[in-house]
Amino acid sequence: MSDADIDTEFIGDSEAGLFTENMTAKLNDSSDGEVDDFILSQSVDAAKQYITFTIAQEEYGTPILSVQEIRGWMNTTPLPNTPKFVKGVTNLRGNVVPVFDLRARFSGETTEVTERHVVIMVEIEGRIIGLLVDAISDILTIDENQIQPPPTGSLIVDTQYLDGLVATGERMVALINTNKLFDSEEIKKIGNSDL
Amino acid sequence: MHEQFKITYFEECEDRILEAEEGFSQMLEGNRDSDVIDTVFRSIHSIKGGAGAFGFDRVVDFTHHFETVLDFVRTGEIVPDRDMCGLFLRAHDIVADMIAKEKASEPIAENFGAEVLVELRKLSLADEDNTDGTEHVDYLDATDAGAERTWSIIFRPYPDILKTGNEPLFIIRALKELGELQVTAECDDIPSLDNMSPEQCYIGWRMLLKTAAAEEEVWEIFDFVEGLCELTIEQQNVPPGDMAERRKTGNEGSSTREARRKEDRDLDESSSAPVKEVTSASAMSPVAQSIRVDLDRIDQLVNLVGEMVIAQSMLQEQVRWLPYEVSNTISVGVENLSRHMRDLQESVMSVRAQPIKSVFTRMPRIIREVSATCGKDVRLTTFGEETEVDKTVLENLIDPLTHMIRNSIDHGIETPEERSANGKTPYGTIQLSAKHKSGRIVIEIEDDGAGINRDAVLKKAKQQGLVNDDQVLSSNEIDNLVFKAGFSTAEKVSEVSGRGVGMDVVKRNISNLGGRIHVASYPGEGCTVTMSLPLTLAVMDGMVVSVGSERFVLPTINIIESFRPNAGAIERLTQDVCVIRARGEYVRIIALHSLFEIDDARTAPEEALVILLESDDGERLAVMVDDVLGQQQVVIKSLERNYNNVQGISAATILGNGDVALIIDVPGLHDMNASINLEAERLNVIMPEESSGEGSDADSEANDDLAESNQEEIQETVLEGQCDE
Repeated sequence: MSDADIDTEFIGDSEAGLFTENMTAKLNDSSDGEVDDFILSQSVDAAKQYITFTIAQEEYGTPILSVQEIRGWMNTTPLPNTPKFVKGVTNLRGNVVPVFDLRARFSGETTEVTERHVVIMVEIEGRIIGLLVDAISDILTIDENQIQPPPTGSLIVDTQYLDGLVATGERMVALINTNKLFDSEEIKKIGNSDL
Repeated sequence: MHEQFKITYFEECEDRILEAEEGFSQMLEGNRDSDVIDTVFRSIHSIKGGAGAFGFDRVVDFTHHFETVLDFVRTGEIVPDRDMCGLFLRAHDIVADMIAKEKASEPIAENFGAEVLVELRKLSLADEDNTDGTEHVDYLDATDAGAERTWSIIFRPYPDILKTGNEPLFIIRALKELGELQVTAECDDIPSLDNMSPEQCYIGWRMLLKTAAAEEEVWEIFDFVEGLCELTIEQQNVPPGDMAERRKTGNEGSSTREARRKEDRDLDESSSAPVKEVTSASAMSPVAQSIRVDLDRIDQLVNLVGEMVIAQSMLQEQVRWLPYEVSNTISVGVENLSRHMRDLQESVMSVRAQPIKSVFTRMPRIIREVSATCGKDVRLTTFGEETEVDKTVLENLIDPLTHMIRNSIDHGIETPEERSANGKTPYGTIQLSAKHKSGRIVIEIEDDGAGINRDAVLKKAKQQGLVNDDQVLSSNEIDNLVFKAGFSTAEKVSEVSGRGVGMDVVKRNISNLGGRIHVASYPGEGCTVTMSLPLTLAVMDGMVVSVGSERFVLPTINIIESFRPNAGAIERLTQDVCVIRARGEYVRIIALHSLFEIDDARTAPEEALVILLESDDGERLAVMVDDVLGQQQVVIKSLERNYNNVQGISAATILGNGDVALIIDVPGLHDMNASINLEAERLNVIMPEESSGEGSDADSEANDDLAESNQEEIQETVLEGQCDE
């Protein structure tokens, strides 16, 4: 599956879709000269940049440097006897990569997957995993002192998996800690209790 | 920089140690040709050389004495006998241990190898008495050797000396250990700061060394910088001359060097002097027949080829759907491509392949150690050392093989007295052989010991509850009980073996590599353990099957047959538990769709296909799938790399259409049911009467004969066990 295929899948929701398409092109196509500029210009404070995405009405963020690429939903091979939030494994250019349903991980409700859904490929501790989310929304440059400690109880996600909250204008973005959320020990534990 | 050279040194050492080991083993067997002796001498010499450069003093000290003795052997002043060769082997083991410790940066115990060292010294000193070797006496017993002499040393490294990993400071320190040392640095060549390169050495030294050590010993310290510096060493009582004189003597360096020991010259002349390879990067060996390549790079290559295999199978699948006019020419091209792909894949795999020799050569040492502990005399013969196998397989073979050899010596081979009493040779023989057979490597370990004591094995197995009291086993089945977890026949736990954690671990290791292991015993005559392993871990032959909309891969090696069952062939015990009669026995049949929760699969056994599988331990199992799609080579992709392991699944692969398919782990499938089976067996042991009664009530058809009812019983209890859950 080439990158060109993926881009065509973002045809929906005008703004977010268009945006994602650009993003995908930039993140994927490393041969493009533009990318170098893109990376260079951001490298100074890249650590503080976050990609934000939505699940239902809520907006979440993850550090941009951990994101390998973003692609449209493609079929996964289900893994038997695994927790509900494990959608299965998919072929990412020859790597067998697990895809996790972030909504199911947070709330237990599984996502009804459509072509408009997006998978974010994230690298955590040398492993690559895919996060299934509803849509990509933005790239935010966040200053460290803008990050507030998460409140208790107001979100569907367990706050121990949050790095903090950021308010930008009207919106509230929750910064998730993917390392902790998909730690292999953690998954094993859930797997055991879930079965 | 330094670290990098160290790594190279240790790599080299490994080769040298193996080389020396082989040489010493040959000497022990009576082959004392001069080239064998030369080889071992050179090996030890180069180990010493590198050790000196890195400041591994203990290694240098030991190898130095070792080398001295070997030198006498070389020159024919000592004629080695079998005992002496044994001593050499022990000394060699100590060198290997020392190197291993240095590699792990562990301290070497103060008296490590002291006994052997004493014996080596004895040998060399005894030789002194017989020959005219005053110089050697000096050299070994420096402190008693009388007069102190003063040496004037002029050491002027070439600027590039640092690039070869040499550190002049080490040399000066080493000199200091010989005696009283005065050092004057000559700084006249130091350039101005802006012209100075940190990687070059601009300083020279003039030194006055007052020592009782022999001239050789002083020269030896400079062994590894030879050719990399101007060096003069002269005995004198006056301070060294002025600059002009120094320059002059520097040019005369070659004539001074003439005085050096003969063997060093021999070494330098022989193109294979490995010391040079270690210490001087610039020294090129005349014919480069092999290169060292980082394993990661090869793995990357293997991965890429794996990708291409997938891409090619994708292409092949697409071509099939093209209209004939187009596909005709294209398919010829695709066929060519796939042929080249297969060649390419084989060549890349052969890069990773290594002769099994490197594992086999470790075994003589194990045998020596273990047989010494057990008081047995054991000899080893090996066949097929050149047989090649993937490096990863090779590395994972060392432990199992070591373990089985230990077992053979400890349990199999009798003591010399027992052997003589039974009319055998007093020494036992273990034969290790390797060969290729139908795409796999087959390794056999054959001993001529007493064989497996079947009565003891069976008794023990019954005691440990591994076998039911009334179970009748064939002698072959009894022999293979040794692989059951927790099994041990040793009456008392010895240092060598007997803790009962052995053979089942061996078996698991072999299974993890996709291999099988089998033992055949001939009472009184010996025992043969046969292992069969895949040649590579990256690719395997698999059968692609479909279950509903999912695809799975079954390893071809596990498949016995596949067939569509008749309606009557499957006996349904409950809604979920079925057994099928295949090849004269009842085999539990697992429907993959229910195990893996797949909704859209065929549920009626009559409509599906049954594949009879045999897991690596010989247990049979049938799985029910919808259809067989074909057989192909699949590239193995680990699931654990990005996720965890999944029960019943050994790995994943990528099919021609780009989809991921899961590879079924046949022993794992078996284990998923094993807990239930075990439960059933236990129930069976406790209440055989009742359950057989129940069995006949529930299923009267099954009462045809006793054996069959026994089978039914187990299945019945399986069923009960499941109901309980």
